[in-house]
Amino acid sequence: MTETDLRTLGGSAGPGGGADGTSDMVVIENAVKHFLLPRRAFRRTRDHVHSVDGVSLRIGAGEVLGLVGESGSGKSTLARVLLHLAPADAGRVVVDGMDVRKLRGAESKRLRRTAQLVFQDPHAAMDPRMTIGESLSAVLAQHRMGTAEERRKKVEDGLREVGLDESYVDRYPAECSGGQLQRVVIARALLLGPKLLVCDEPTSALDASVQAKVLNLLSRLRREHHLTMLMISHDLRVVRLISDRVAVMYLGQVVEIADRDQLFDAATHPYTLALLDAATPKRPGSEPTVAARGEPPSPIHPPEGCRFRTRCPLATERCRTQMPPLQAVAPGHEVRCHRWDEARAALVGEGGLVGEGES
Amino acid sequence: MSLLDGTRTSALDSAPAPVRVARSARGRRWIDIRTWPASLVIGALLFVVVVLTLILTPWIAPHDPAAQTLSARLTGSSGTHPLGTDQLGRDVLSRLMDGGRFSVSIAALTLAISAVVGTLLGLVCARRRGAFDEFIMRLTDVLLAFPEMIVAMFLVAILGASQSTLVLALVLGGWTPFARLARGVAIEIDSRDYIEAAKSLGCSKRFIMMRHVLPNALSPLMAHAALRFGHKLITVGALSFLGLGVQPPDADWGSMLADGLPYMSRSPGLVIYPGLAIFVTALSVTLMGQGINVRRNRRT
Repeated sequence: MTETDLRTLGGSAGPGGGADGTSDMVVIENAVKHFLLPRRAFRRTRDHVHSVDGVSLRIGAGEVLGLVGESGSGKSTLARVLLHLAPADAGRVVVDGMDVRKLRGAESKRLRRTAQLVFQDPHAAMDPRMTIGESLSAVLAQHRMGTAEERRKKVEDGLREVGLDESYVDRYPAECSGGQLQRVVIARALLLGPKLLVCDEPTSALDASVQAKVLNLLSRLRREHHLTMLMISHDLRVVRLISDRVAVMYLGQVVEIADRDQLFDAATHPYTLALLDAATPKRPGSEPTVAARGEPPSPIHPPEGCRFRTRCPLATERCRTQMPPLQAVAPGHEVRCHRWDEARAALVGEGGLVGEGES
Repeated sequence: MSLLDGTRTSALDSAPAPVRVARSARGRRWIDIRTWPASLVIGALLFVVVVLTLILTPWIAPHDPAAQTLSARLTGSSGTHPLGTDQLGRDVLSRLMDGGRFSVSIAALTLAISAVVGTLLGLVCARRRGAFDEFIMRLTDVLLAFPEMIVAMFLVAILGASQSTLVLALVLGGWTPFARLARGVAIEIDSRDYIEAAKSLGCSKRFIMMRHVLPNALSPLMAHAALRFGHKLITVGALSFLGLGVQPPDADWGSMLADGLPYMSRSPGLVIYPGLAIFVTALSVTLMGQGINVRRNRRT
């Protein structure tokens, strides 16, 4: 099979996918988001942070795409680009048929009703001076929905749906625990009846005991509301639990994307392998099987060629000069690596990685 | 993978999390004095006493503040003159009450105007940034470079001593700290997640400014206003002390202090009582400001 054939199978082909394209809730093509750094003395040019650097993704309607990567890899920025909170500098971002970068006025309100965000820290995501009821009904009021009475009812229904009784309406955020408040944030995100829910590390700030409950809540809501989700996390277990497909980001680029089981069982990118290895429980004192050496390089001056080469145990001269393309290696499985075909064999012994065969 | 195992067994989690008995937030609004911190109670009590006295002065003052009894000058306290008389035989208590009306109202008026103008300008700066922000901030630099007293004396010299000149002069220097504070706080609040949440939920810019930024910026602004009130009161007094405020025979606390100074050794009350009046009033407002801050922060 030629590479082109595989690309088509991969579902991440170029625009104009015809009937296939209409079922996509999210289409991101070559999205770029740079942040300008403050001007420095005696320098003519200003530096950029390459937060998102040419990312292309699709999320089918009703699908949950997991997005993993280290901090600073551009996961959260990608979420902001998707919701037009940090407008992309270049590329195309389409949510439910709307070109996000071209929305004006009333159309942008439609985007707000279609796509919503769940935050990492629920205490930071709620205004401390407003009761939960005030916060939630203000959202409905801003969209001119219903009378005050209807709004209150809708807020109570929304809270009940995430497992909170109506006593929460009159509470302040400081009077709730993190888990309770994350439910409130989820209820608020669902108030406007969105089709797409972007969850930015929704469990990272929560106690371990609460994480599982919030994840279960999210997967229940996903079923009941037929939600499409982008689940951002650095926790592979979270992503594995809830995602249909998983994308791995490194320094602003997608380096590997595959169906969940394919990714966890047959990942081929050295970075993905290192992530999986790091998440595998080990005996104390034993060396990591696959190591990503050192710290990730600065996104202000990303390395030439392959961005992972500075930490990659398999890096060659070619990796230094030539940036590998995202190429399809199996149906629905794409990898950005020159040596993907040997990476797995070279890095993983017979033992395998992260609970392989366990799921 | 204990996390995963745990979730599988707990199945669907729709039961409400255990809730401690929820006291309704409505039962704990501002009205309920029992929830006030002590500083707020004491401050408010003092302030109400001062303000009520000043309002009721025309009816409850024991004497006409301008009536002179030259035979009874510089007397100590007595039955007819509880705080004694001044160098012209005028009743000190009546003059204190009458003069306070001027001092406190000027201080309150200039403070209110400064706070509102400064806060709004600061919020607009934080929102717009760019050239407008730069212009306003450099303007505050210039105004802050001149001491308030110099500006006031300058204006009084040009426009002549009057109440409106005094207010104008005090507002001119008074709005700048509010603008800077409001701007700084608003920029900080703008970076919070709940502002991003409001944006992603499609709330209007006006809503975000009035319902999120302003209420959250209010607490430091109010604390600042309370501190400035005492400062204003003293400035008004100082200007009157220099003869730039109220003109004789009217009195205010600052001019009474100034007038009493030469007689301090014979009749110390002439200096102590106006000073005490300024002190108590300033203290009451500062205490209230502190109490309000404590009260607001408790919830967050």
